[in-house]
Amino acid sequence: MNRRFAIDGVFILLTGLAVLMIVAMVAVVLGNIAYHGWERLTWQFLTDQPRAGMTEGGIFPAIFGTVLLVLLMTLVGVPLGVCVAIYFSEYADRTSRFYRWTRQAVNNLAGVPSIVFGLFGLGFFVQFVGGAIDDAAYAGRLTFGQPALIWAALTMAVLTLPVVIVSVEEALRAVPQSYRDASAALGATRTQTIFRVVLPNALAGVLTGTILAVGRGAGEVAPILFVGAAYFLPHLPTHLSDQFMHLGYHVFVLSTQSPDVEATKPILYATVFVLLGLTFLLNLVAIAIRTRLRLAAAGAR
Amino acid sequence: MNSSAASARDYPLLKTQVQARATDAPAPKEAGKMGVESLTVLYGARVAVNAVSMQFHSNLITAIIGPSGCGKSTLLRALNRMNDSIPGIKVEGKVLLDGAEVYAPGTDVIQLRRRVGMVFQQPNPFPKSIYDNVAYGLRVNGMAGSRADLDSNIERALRQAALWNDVKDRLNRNALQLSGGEQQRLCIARALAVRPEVLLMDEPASALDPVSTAKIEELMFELKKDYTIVIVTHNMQQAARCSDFTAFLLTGSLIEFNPTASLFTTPSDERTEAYITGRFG
Amino acid sequence: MSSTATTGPVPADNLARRRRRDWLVERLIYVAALLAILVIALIFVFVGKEALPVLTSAEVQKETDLSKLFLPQQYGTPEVPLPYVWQPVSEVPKYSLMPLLLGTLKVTLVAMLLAAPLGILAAIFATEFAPNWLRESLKPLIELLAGIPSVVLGFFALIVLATWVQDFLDLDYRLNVITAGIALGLAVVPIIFTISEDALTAVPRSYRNASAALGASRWQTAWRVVLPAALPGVFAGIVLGFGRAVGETMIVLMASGNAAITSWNFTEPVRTLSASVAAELAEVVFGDTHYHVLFFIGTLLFVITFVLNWLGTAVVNRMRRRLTGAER
Repeated sequence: MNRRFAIDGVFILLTGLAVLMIVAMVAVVLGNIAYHGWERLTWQFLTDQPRAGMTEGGIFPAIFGTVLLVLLMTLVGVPLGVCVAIYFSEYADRTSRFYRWTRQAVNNLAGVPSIVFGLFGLGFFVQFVGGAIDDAAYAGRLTFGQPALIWAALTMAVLTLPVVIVSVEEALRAVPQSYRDASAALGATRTQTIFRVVLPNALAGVLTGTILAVGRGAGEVAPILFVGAAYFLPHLPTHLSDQFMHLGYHVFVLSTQSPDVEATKPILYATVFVLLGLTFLLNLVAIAIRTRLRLAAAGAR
Repeated sequence: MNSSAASARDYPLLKTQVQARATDAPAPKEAGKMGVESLTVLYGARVAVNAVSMQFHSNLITAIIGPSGCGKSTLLRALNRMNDSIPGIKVEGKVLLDGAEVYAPGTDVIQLRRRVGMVFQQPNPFPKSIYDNVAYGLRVNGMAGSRADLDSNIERALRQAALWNDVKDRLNRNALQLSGGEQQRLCIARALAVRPEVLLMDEPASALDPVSTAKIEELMFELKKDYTIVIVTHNMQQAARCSDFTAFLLTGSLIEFNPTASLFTTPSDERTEAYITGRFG
Repeated sequence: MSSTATTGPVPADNLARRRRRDWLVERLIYVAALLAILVIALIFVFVGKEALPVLTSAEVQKETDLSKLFLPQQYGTPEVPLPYVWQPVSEVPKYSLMPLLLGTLKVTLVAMLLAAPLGILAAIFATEFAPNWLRESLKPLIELLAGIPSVVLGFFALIVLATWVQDFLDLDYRLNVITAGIALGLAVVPIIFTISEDALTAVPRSYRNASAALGASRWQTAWRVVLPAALPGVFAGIVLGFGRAVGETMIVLMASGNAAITSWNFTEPVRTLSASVAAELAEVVFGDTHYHVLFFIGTLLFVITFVLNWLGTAVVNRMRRRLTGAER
């Protein structure tokens, strides 16, 4: 009897150890980055231009480019994601073929490798759409038919679409059916019910989805490698057809293509710290909102 | 007509609860504000309402009673087509409002629901302010008008629901902060705001405490002066207390439909008598 | 009628206007849903379109075709035969995909060897043995791990982990399969953990109660009753994790050494399918063979992950339907 409990204890310990290992690995990664990145983190760093071949100065252009990218991405991606989520939650006939196809499409979208998004951005947006725009509006002069902010934003919008849809749909489903019934019984159309009663109560989900999408937008590099990101630009991007600097891309290039790794290491660590801190903050906020949403839904039932 | 009157009169308590009504009430068979003719509602293959025919008269309260699952809620929801969104539902027969068929193709369901209002079993005010709750129906139907118009309509509705004095100073408070009984009266006010002609009430007091229930019943007496009321209830005493006509449904079929006074004292069907004397259900 | 009646019934034009708006909004919503389908189709079309010349263009096939991509060739010399070589940038371009496929497989294997046991055991701990407060704090932690951008993990592997691994195992190469595999495993753990945890939680409480009532210890219940019952879901988690690992780009790009070597040695560098595309696309000439082959690789990745995801979500859906009666 005692021996069985002893063996029992060993296995339970094993599983606990697994958890400990994961936590430890995460802690090591975060700790290392925080430890080395902290010293360079000053207000100067965040607002200054890079200097001396990325060994001095700051990363403001990268932050600016990332913010711009994320803003455009959100402008296109969130409304589209909300509409698809509304379709799933309010309009869809579960038995219809269209519903199943749409559901499959969104699930598959979530699983597409990020590099394939990069190829899509290049093949479709840059070359096809961009080329067409150049022929139509710029008499063939290369303006949009090359890596550009707008194409990167659209590519990222497509990449983060499933994230937005999942969050918003969850929030829409959490709205009690009784609200929809009450609204319908008062003579409201479905549109009125959705936009006056259901969606306002699902705003937390829209927020969560947006925040998670923004986190991905700041951190994903592969999709924008040849669709708009650049390492060093003399000016900040001002047009949709400009290229831009990006926090994640900056980390990538600094890590792999810097002529003197040791000299750029402090800047590199600090950049990683900023990127990590940003995505962590966004994720924490999104998780907090979602937890509160779930608790409220459970309490209302 | 078999009369088991002897057994019903053996229950004096029930008899005293039935109030004598003026006999100028129309006979059960005359056409009313709303009516159903051979109405059958099926969920797929399951028959929920079986060829029911009855009339709902203006300025009167008609109660529909019966054991759980007898189809009374389904019948009620067929009147304002709230069943439409349920997949696999089939409706046969006629539902008439002022003589016009409600299920005719081309009927404006939105318009119908404004004219035939509904109050649900669980109070379901929107998570908005009291003011916005009552204003909702007016706004979505384009009846809001100026701010002064809206204010006066809201006051009217809240007065009709006997809630005005309780909430007039806190119209901007969240409706969910009200007590259960107050929330239900708010839902009644919300339904009344759009000036319906018929008011459908699906067990409106079953989720409330006795004091709130009594208030709702008092309210119904006042409201019937201006509206046609149809109430579904599993509480027989409530039906006996409040209604002018009572319909008894059993497994989807209409067993008896008579003035309340006679249904409860001299039921014309032995199944009705069995139900009201508590032998089943 | 009681009191002041200032507004009458619904204005007629309002009803018509609302109906029109309702119709319009409904159309828009359906168009949005259609766009979702369209997008995934567009991805397939536009990536596949640029890959097609590998199969159809005689011009391209002079340099490479399906057989050259997958079958052993006569590269190298009779003394040192090299059946599979990926060397698109050279005097005689060589386009064998096998080194890349092997590279992807090796790194993914290491990642799964790390991530699957860790993820599953941790999920078992979270659902069966951990107190409530620990379980509720573990889930956000795993979500935070999932939120770490892969470029950050790649950075860490490149700058820090590579040195540790090289010192610890006394390796010749700093960037190799093991280093990249560890970092990749860390990225995949959250998927396996989350889906396994869902699967384990879905196992009815009654199973556990019955087992305990028969005198089984907590571990025996977990190992012999709960885990087997959750196996389909756990398996799906592994499949989806595998798919994620195969498609991952930045970590392998930064930490695997990017040398297209064909061998089963895990201490050597490799080049994966995804990393090849990422590394070489910037240098290709638009429209030449190399360009088309890279898109071909992209299509291949798309199809592989498509199939893996389809498999995984089919199982997850079945599991969810059994639990809640609702399909995702």
